[in-house]
Amino acid sequence: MNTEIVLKNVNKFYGKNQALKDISLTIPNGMFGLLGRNGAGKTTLMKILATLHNADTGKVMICGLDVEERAKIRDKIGYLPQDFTMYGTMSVYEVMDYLGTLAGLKKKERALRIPQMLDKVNLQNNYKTKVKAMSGGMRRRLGIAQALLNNPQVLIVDEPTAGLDPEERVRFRNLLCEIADQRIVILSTHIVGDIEATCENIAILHEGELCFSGKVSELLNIAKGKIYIAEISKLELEEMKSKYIVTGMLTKGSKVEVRFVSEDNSFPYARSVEPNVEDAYLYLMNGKEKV
Amino acid sequence: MFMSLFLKECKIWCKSILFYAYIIILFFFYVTQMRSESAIKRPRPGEKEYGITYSENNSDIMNGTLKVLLNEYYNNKFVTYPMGFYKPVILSANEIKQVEKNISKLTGITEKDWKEKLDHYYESKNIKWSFYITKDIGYNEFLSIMSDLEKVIGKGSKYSAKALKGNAKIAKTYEQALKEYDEFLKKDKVTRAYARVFSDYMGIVLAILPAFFGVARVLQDKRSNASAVIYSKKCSSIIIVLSRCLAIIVMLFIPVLILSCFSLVESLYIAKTMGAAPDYFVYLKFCIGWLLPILMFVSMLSYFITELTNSILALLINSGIWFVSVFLGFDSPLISVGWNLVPRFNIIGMHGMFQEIFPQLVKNRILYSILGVFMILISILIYSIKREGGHKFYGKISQNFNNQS
Repeated sequence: MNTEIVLKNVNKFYGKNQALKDISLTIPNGMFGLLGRNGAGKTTLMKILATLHNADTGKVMICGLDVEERAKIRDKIGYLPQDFTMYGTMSVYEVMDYLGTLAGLKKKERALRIPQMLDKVNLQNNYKTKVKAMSGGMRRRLGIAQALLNNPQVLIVDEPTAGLDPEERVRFRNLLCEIADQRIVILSTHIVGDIEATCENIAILHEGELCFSGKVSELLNIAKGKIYIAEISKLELEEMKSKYIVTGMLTKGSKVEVRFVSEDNSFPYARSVEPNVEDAYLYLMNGKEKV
Repeated sequence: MFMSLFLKECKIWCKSILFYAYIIILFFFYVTQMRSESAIKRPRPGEKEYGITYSENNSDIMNGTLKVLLNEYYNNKFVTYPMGFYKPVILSANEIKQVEKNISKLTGITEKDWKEKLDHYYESKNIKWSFYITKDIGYNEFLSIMSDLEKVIGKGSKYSAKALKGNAKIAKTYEQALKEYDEFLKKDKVTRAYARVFSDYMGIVLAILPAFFGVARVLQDKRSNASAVIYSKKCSSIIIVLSRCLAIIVMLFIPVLILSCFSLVESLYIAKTMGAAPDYFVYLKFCIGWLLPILMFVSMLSYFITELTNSILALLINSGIWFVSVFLGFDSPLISVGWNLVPRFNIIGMHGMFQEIFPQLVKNRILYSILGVFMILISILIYSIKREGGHKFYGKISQNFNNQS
């Protein structure tokens, strides 16, 4: 069985604005991160994959099916949009039952799957909780539960951790990793930490263009030897910021430990360090902006 | 899948404040309007009067109109309903002269003579009315004079072609009153007459309240950010929209049926006391045939417009339609059908008149039922387009179809 998503030369326009520019990408099984700034085209790409938007040109194949075969595709995907919520007066169970019906599950299937899914996202004690009374984190977990109801081969999750507190965010990331076993989970986010903690494969979008696609280790390699740490006085900080991309700062009394990107080690007393995903991402984005 | 979804949609309405507000308004309207309707009493020979009726006779129409005209002229206060609302018109000296010329034409006597006669009539008591249309004036010429008068007085006056019949009030004879009573008892079986008036009153509120439901249901998805999740599900647009629309129609129709049962029980009691054989299903027939098309059309029009625009524009449009239907689109305030959304028959009895308008009523109701179904079909189409992210057109309306990230 074909278990990958293939995009070939996908373009999408909104009037005169081009939201996606000739995107070609293969998304394999497992967790896949889609990284980019706000407005980079991530949501547009996610909506095309979720059959909610049409690509103007190009081809999209999901698990061997053309994305135009919407009914079949919708049976294979689960979608959690940005800011998921449902009717405030509905209870958790009612939301699952309603969306389960829309997903084509029969009554018996719903009766079996709903408790399983709510258990999985730790909402087993909240069957009667009204949507309007739920916290942001609970709603996201409910969103994941509803997206998993039809046991999809592809789970599309758009900006799921935005606005969550650190504890909820970690819990949510762990949940996504558990789910990613034997299915494709596409996680779209502008929060680099989410990708770093969960994804092996990533793609980076910048103003509608695909500027990186590959493994996280490959991304790190791009920035290898270009990340430095230096301890400077606070007075030197402004000059430092104007010359380099500063990816981190740690104040130590009157000194500041600065983590920055540099093509060569031109700064005195700086030492080279291993890049993390955030460093590599910022390095890549900076290169794109200079172009 | 459809039944399951339909029941869930009904359940959504059961939790809605809007639904309970609808029931309260409907009940309030029913109680305040229907309670005042009383039955026709059996006429007895030798009574002083048997009420009034409207003559179809041209001579009665002409003479009745002349009487109304002279009354209004004498007081220089002409009643008009230009936008469906009462507006008294006071004429200028020049306009009065034009009216006077027309009165002379109608009566066939000189201005001086009829003025003297008229002054004498109003100043003295116990003088019999003695103004009649001259024999030289035929009905067509009469209509032409009325048209001239309307130009002077303004639209919606008692001289507009639609209103002329209303001027031909004549006293009912015993025989006419008895015939109407018999028809009320035997043909209308009492219950039918009440069912008509029930439909008349309920039609007024049903021509506006369902509009809120179409708007509320569509905007509920937008307000709750639920559209994207629902769009991405396997279920077809036909089933989603059809279940929603049917749930609205059914949930709005049930309270109407329940209220009709109250009215039915009352009319059954009246029928029983009058010795009539009632029609137990007449309310059901009228609710389905008369009220359901209004409910369907109004709710589905608002559903369609809201699906198209994602705004509350439908409320404005529906309010406009309601205003025109209830206040402007009638021939007579009490009985009116035509192609109006809200047919009027606000009289207990008058079986013969109802029989006359019945064929038009049927055509009218079929039209609005078809329009209601049509609205559902195009709502399905629009919903289906929206689920696919809209198509390749960009305008103010279609902005609702696309949401760029």
